[in-house]
Amino acid sequence: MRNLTVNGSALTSGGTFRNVTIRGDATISGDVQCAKWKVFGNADVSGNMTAEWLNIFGQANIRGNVHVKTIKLFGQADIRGNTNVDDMRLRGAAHIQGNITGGAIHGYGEMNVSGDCETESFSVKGVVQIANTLNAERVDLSLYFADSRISEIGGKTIRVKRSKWNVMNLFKGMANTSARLMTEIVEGDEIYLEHTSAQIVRGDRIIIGPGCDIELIEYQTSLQQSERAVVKEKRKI
Amino acid sequence: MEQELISKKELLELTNISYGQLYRWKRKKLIPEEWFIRKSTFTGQETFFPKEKILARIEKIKQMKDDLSLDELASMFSPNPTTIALHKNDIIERNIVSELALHFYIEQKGEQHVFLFDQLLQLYVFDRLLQTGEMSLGEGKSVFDVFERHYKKIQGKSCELLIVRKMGISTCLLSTNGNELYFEDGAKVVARLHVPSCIEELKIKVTEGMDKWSEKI
Repeated sequence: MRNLTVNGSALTSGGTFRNVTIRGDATISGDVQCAKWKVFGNADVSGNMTAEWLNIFGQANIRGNVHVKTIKLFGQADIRGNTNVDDMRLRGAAHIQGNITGGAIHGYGEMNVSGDCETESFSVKGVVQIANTLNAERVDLSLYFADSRISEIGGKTIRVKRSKWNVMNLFKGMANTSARLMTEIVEGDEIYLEHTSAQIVRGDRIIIGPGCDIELIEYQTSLQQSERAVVKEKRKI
Repeated sequence: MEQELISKKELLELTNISYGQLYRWKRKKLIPEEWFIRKSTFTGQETFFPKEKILARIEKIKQMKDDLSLDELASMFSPNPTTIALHKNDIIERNIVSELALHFYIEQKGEQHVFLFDQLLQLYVFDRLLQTGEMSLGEGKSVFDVFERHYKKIQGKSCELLIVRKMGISTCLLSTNGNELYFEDGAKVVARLHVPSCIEELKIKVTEGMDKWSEKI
């Protein structure tokens, strides 16, 4: 099977390849199917993308849907369609206009989803914005740098904390140490929240940590609340 | 028709499942997206479900989740016929193939609970040949074998299944694209089935009962 290599700048059409390597700037029209897609620089794809591996060092814009096993993202990716990925390692920013589904999403940086995010595990340090629902077996969110917004979070274990690891603290004043999570509904079996504003939190075992501001909590087995948290109403179901 | 709704909270109480389970089943597409109905109430956004459907579906999942993996369950509830899989009991209940054919298949291939579309197709073809009397039960094994070994290669092509008999000995073959076939004297083509039309018939049979069926389950 053919390889596609772009060194410099090129405008090319899609197709089925073994390895696609882009060093520089490439605009690909049409769908791309390949085993490995490496971008050092900038790539635009006007169609759908199917690949085993997707390594982005730089920037990639994909207009269609993305179906990949592994994504390593050092840089930025903009995906207009829906994304399905088994394992996504984030070191930068991912903007997804559709939904994202898959296995695991983990890493640092910024994650922006205009639809739903449904994965087995979701573990991100940084800023997360999800317009609809974040549904994952395990949600592990470290708030860092700026506010995160997620309309609805659901899953088995949900942990939201403010990141302590903070190189930026060395440059006092530069870092925003007041990162919060704004959400409407959190539902899970085991929930730990910190610095979160929510309307409703429902679950079995709930721990409300410092800095929370919650309208209503409905719990089944247990509820612990930090002195530095505000909860308007609590109900045991 | 206005259907009765149930809120998420009531649903969990009634069925005794946890949020984790509900979200997991949604992720695995065991519960269709359309059943999640968002409504605003005085406490903010709330999610409701069509009561009868969701209760039946959860009951079904709870019953079968010990025997089957979540992925197997998902393909069972899939609306796309070619990715569909049916439980043994449903095949009998919905009369897709006769019990006799199904039992013979299980006897030959070993006990199994879930049948994928390809297996259903083998069963359906076999059952049809049985019903028309063109084939005996014992000859069924050759139908299963020829499908199992060769059907993958010709999938998507137009093909025919032929049963040929000479002096009481029978054999069966799959032929693609209507190739011309000539036999020796004394050989008789006892049955000739156009496989794509069988697939269509089966798809209709499988999806037909689906609405009624999914309400029931």
